[in-house]
Formats: sequence, structure tokens, C-alpha cells
Amino acid sequence: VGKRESQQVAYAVVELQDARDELAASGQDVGEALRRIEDAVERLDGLTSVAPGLSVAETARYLGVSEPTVREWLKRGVLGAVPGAKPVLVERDGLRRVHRAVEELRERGQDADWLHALLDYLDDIAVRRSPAVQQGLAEMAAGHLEPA
Amino acid sequence: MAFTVRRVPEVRRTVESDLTKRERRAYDVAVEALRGEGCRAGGKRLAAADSGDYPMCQRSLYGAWRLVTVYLRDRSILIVAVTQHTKAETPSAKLVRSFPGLAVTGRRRSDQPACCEDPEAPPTLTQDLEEILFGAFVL
Repeated sequence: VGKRESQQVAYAVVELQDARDELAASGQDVGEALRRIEDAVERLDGLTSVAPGLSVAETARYLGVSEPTVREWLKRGVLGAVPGAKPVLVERDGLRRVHRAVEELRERGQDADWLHALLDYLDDIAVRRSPAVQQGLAEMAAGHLEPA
Repeated sequence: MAFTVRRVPEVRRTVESDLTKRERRAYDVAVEALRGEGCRAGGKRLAAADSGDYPMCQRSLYGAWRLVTVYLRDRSILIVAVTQHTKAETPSAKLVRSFPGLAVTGRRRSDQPACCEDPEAPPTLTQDLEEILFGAFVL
């Protein structure tokens, strides 16, 4: 199996796992379907030829974001890279968690009030955590104050 | 009643070495306003996950410069930072760039909580979403 095919299988495994989770969360009587999906996932996942991660392009497609965004998130540690893989592969562990969060963001982001509050909140937290403010707070804690 | 306004040494260094004359004037005006009006001159209240040790506010100075203040229990005001705010690099701008479907900008300044008001509750976020948003866009 070529590298490309093994990455495709890895992608399919991730999608099957998502489908399994969605079915399980649906509350319907889908025990038999779940069992069959789990068997399929197990069989596929057990193949030595399955890539340990998804390529950047596939990850971008899976998450519905751009490839630069995926690379940025890898740099920031939001997504994990498979050690030693060249070209870069995105670890499957954690990728589905990011996918769920991204889906939640897209769904809840349709509520303009919630989205506005979120954007303000992120910006405010960034100011609070900025090096300049952190340094100022450290100087304050050390009692280094002077008249303005 | 006049308020006591203090600053940390780093603010002095920034004001003396990084601000132009015009920006420096805006800083001086802001300090005077804080002395006379207290938190009413503080700009907008910064949201926090918890209430934080002190209320923290941010006021625009000139151009990209912002002045960040905290309000101490003895009613004095401390300027903890004078820093530049690059709009393109704010977490909200980065988030909107990553998710074009969420193409909205932040609220108008008039809709944001004033410095003297109690902080608004942060938006509800699941733990996964909060961790990923902070990891991807804030730090």
C-alpha cells in the first residue's frame, strides 16, 4: 500500500470514528450499526499500513480550514505532529477533539451575540496575558510604583 | 475628588522612549482624565475568566497605543502598561480569518462594558472549545 493510500485509510478511520460517535450520541437504537462500525474501525486501525496521521491537506479538508491555519495550529501545539514524519503528518489523537470544537464553534457562532461576546473575550484575555501587562503586574506585585 | 494615579517603571520607559510627541500628549490627557474622573476615564472594562484580583480596563490613546489600568482597593489607579494594539493580530481577527463563515467584527465601542461597570460574564464555552480557542488564537 502506498503512502497516499495509507493516509486515505487513516482519514477513513477518523471519519468512521466520528460517525460512530454521532450515532452513539443520537440516542436511537443503533446498537447493531455501532457494533459493525466499531469492528470496521478496529480492523482498519489494526493494519500496519495505516498511516499514523493525516497530511496537512487532509487535515485542512477534515477541519474545513486552510492549510496555513493547520500549520499554524501545529506550531502552536493545538494539533500534534507525528514524530519524525516527513512530510508532516497530523496525529489522529487529538484531531477529532479539535474537529468537535471547530464544529461547535461553527454551530454556536451563528448566534451573533454569543460570537460577539466570544471575540471580545478572546481579545480581552490576550491583553491581560500580553507580556507588557504581565510585566506591569509583576512590577506592581514587587511594589515598584511611581507617580504618573 | 482627585484620584491618585501611579504607574510602573516600564510605563515610564515606554512613554519616554517609544511615544511620539502627539502620542505623549494623548497619554498626558488620559492621565489627567484619570486623576479627575477615575474609572470613568478608564475606557472599556476587560473581561476575565474570573473576576481577577483587580478590575482592569483599557483606554485608547493615539493610533494603536492603548493604556491599561487597574483599580486598587485604596481607590488609587495604577497604569500597568502602555502598549500597542495591532488590530490584524488580535485573536478575534485571527479567528475570523480562519473561519470566514464567522465574518463579524467585535462590538462597537459604545456596546462594550464601560470601565466602571461590573464585568460581563464571559461567554459559555465547553472546556475543549476554550482550550482550543486559547491555544489557537490567544497564546
